[in-house]
Amino acid sequence: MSEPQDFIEKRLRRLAAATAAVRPAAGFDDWIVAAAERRSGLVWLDGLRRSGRVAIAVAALAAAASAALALHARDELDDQVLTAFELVELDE
Amino acid sequence: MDERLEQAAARVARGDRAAFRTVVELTSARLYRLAARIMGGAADAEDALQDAYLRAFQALSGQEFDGRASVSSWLYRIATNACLDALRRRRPRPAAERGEATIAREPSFDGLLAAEARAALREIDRWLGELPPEQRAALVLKTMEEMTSAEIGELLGCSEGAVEQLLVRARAALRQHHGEGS
Repeated sequence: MSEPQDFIEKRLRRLAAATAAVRPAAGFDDWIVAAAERRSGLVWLDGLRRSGRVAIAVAALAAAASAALALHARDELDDQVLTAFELVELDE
Repeated sequence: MDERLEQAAARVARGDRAAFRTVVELTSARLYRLAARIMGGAADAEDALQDAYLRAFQALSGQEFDGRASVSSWLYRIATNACLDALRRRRPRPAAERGEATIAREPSFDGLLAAEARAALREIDRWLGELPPEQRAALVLKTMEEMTSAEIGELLGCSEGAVEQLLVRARAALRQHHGEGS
């Protein structure tokens, strides 16, 4: 191993030893957990917002289906009324 | 510790949000030291680690953790990636400004850091500041976290050979940029 390499390794080892005891204060864990709880709240709200959008889409589809059914039912009723009129005319 | 960690992670995946506190308590000391060493300062480490834990919480809650690796290794990978992302976002700083992050923003949770440790973190930032993020992380993981090249490869998502290349380049760059004693 060359001299500069030795120096690099020595310096890295010294820095590793000097930072071996690095750890956060007790409040750090609380800070992380609170951030996660805030995030999960936002995720929940986001889910609600998205499910709200899904509900609007489902309602729109249901309204369209109802309108189509109503039109179909009206056409059937018209046909039945016309058939009834024709029968009455034939009887006369 | 690992068994308790695996159990806590499994509880989070089943919807027990309170179990996430156990995950944090069992891992924060190791991950804080890792992040502080890679980032070269406590303030940046805190931000990167918050990002990492939020990613982990979302992945566990969304049952995205597939269990192929241990929870401990998986968290190590998330924390390393969060640090790499933070380093990539950093604007290049002149050498004179490196290691001075504590002046720009005081870390909030470094109350237990000895003056020697603070000085060492600043020195890491100054000394490794010119290395690309992957080389910097590989060097820290190898020489300070004492991981094998295979383990580093898993964390960085590259082969063992690629890790060796990163280490060779990092050492060559340090030799080129810093003479003995600088």
